[in-house]
Amino acid sequence: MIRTATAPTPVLRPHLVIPTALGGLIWLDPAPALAHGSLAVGDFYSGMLHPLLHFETLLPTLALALWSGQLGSPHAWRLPLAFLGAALVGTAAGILEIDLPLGPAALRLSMLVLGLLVAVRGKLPVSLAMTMALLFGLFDGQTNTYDPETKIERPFLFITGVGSSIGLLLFHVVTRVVRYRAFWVQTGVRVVGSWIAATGLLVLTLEWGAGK
Amino acid sequence: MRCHWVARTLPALLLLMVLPTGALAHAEGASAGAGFVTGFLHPLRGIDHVLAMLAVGMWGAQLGNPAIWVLPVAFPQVMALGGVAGILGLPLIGTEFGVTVSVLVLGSMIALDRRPPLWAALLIVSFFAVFHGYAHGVELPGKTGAVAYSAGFVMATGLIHLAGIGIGFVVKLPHGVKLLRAGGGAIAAAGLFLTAQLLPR
Repeated sequence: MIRTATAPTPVLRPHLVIPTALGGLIWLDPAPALAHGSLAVGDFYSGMLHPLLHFETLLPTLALALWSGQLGSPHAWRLPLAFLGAALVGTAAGILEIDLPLGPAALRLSMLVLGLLVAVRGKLPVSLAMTMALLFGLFDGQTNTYDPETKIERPFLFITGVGSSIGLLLFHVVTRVVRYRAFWVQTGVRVVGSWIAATGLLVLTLEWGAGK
Repeated sequence: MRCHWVARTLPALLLLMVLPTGALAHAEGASAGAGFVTGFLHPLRGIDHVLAMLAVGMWGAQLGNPAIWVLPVAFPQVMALGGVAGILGLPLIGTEFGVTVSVLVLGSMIALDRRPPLWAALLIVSFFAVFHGYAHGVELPGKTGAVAYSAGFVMATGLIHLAGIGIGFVVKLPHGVKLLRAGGGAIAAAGLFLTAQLLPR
């Protein structure tokens, strides 16, 4: 890619769009945010931290972002959007206590499958890739509500938080993988994919193979 | 002036690596938070494992393209397969012996500047990877904090490997080739010593 000194200024500035949208969403939340006593915005932060603080949800998201970036143009924005949308639905389902069959196992499997795809730079038909992004996103989102320590009082804020951090993570990783085509960067991406797949394989065996 | 994107993203990445342990330690008790640290430290504890992994990286750098990138991508998979065998308790004879012998073999390969075809290099490295994964797989904890532990374990292993590749870049320096071979010789000597210690007297 040739980068000229006078690059045209993009009309849409993604780094401004996301915070603005977030601010709008929080503002739209019906209940008064700073009621006496409890700081109700807490659920937004709790939701925002969840996908990033837990390896079980962080690693599949990271793998999907790396893979989308590798695949390039149409996939690079379709897959993350599908994943993000599905994750929001999954989080809502988790709050409503609708259990998806095979939830945790499917999430581990997504680490293995997506990690391997990154490691080998695998290409799949769009329909199959989209189905995977939707399914894995659903499980990823739902897992954010499993933590028994988390008391969700304001589901709307929690879901907004989850969506914003998953969205930011996907956006940042995908754009970097798409943009930096240097050999060592792309190799590093494959190595990280391989790490995620290896982690998935070990965890799957630990949790379901050991017969405990 | 804009600094390099690596310099800009590195602090965030480091923060991401540190955050899970810190936050989990408070939220979910010691087990899940300690999982990552325990897993991360595990491969660093045994000198034989560290040396063999460094040697894998150094050898990859010595072999050059494509081994330099194929090995770091393939290694974790083979290692995980060995780990699976360890977790399931499949019998594997002489695990520690296998690791020390691979220190000797890999060190010798670097010292002698052997350049086998890629498949042969992969086979030699896989031999070590299976033993390495197995040795750790046997000691992996149960279900609690399995993801954090495994992630830490895989990440530490991979980082030692990358450190080995980094050391391997001394070949770019004047006399670097000799330096790298000398390093391989030192690793081979350590491997010989470690193997001798395991032998019955």
